[in-house]
Amino acid sequence: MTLEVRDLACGYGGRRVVEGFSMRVEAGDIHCLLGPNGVGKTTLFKSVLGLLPRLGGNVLLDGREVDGLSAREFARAVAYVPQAHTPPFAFNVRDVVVMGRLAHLGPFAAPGRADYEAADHALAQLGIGRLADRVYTELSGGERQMALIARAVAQSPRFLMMDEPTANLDFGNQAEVLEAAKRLAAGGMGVVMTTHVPDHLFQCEAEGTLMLRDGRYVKGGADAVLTPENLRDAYGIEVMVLDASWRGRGVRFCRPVVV
Amino acid sequence: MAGLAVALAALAAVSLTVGTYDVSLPEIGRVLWDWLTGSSTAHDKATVVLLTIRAPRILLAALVGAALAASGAAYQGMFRNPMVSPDILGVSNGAAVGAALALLLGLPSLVVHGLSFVCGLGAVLLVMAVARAVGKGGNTLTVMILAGVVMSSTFSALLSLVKYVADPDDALPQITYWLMGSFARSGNDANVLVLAAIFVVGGGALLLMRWRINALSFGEEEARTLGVDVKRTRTVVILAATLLTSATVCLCGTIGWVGLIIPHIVRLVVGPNYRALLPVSLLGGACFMLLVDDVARIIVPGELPVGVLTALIGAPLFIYMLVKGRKEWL
Repeated sequence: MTLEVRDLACGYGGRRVVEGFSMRVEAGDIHCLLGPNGVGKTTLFKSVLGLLPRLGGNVLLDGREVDGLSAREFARAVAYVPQAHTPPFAFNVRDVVVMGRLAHLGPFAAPGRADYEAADHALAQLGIGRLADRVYTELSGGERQMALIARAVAQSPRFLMMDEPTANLDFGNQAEVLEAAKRLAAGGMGVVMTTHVPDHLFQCEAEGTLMLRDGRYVKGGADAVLTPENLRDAYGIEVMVLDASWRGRGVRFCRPVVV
Repeated sequence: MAGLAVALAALAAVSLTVGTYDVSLPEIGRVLWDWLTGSSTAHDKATVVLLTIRAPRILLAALVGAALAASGAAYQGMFRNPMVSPDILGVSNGAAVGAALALLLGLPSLVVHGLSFVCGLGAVLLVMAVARAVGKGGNTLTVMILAGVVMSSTFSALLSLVKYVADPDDALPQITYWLMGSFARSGNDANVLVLAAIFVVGGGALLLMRWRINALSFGEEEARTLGVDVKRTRTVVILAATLLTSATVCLCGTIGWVGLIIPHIVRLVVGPNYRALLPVSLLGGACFMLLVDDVARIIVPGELPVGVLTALIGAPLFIYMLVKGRKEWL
């Protein structure tokens, strides 16, 4: 299955923030969206998800325009993982995750036993089965993010769109979320994620798009996208791209120069 | 939940005994049995008191409590705010203006009820139209609440105007007492049937939507990405809740507090999942209303305005629940 964005223009109230953006993600791919604050990553995300009216261009699933799809049909193909948040009501984790099943139920139907099993399965798949009976609002940020990913998995979509899944997470939890994303992609899910950490592109061995300040997009594999020049054009700082090795494997990473 | 249903039945039975005219429980059993078997020919005092006065009043009170609590619970989830009450979009004030106008013009009671009901619905439809015109796909939830506040205060001004021009010896006290709410006035078979029918439609719709309301409580965007048709769900919830609230106001006046407090207390006990929250609120609202009405009939031989008592009993009960309850649900 393919998720394709063609020549997309988007923004708020007629003001164009993003123009001429294209991207193609296959099942099993990870695609990272990088760029400085205010360049329009979130706007782009919302437009692809149909939460903002598009100002131009197309979003296609297997070559079919998504405009004709209902919210329910779209949700069965593409799931959204928001940033870990605190909702006003204290649901149990299992109840939060089972809401991923709504896209597969009729408009008046309630989740049944099979749906709760799917929710438990999703929790187990992400290794957080122990959280099932905890109260969502009492979890740590990392646990909440994992629970939201489990909800998206329970939705059994072909694509996951993750909005800065590592934002506000500690060092360890960031790595855990990335590992979860990689495992899901290895299992055949297409993953699109925005991130503020260029290294994620190296770590996920992913394709990526770096949105530059002047409105250009640099696309390709990690090594092609993450060059000191491109990173300078995107973030306005000097960045070192360094090589190291870990247990005989070559590892590349980048590090901003702070003087 | 089963326990609560039993409690409601027990409370209803006890409520039958409460009042100025003493009727014992066995006597109630006899009267009900005669009624069920169709042999209630006797026009004895007990039968009359129970079947034509107390039973309809009890049923009405229970339905009103259930309707208000269910609407309040649904609204709190949809507006993502536990402090929202069912009249947030102006239904109560709209219905009050309708009733006051009809009373001012000395129209028959059927018209008073009808006009009140229509004005309550109309106020909310107006709010929805304003929100649609102003919102333009933006954050319509905030716009809707603002429009509701504006509409509420507009209707409250209109109500004052109607009261101002009303005859202080005749129409004005009538309007004032009407607005305070009463079960005695409306406790007859016809009203019970009307409210029951509306309750089946509105309450049924809310119960069917309970999982969509769950999703909406995570915010509009998330609900949409979960596959929920947000606009349609919202419209159905608002119409159902408005139908219920408007019906209670037009029959029994404005009874505040129940729709705010009962879902809140229930959430403290069963959590925020509408799978349990909605039906339990519904039963809890019915129990609470019966309790309040019993107290009203015990304290004063005639009758106390229900709205006054719901607040006087509800507030301490709420504080007690806050102290005792599971705070993590808050």
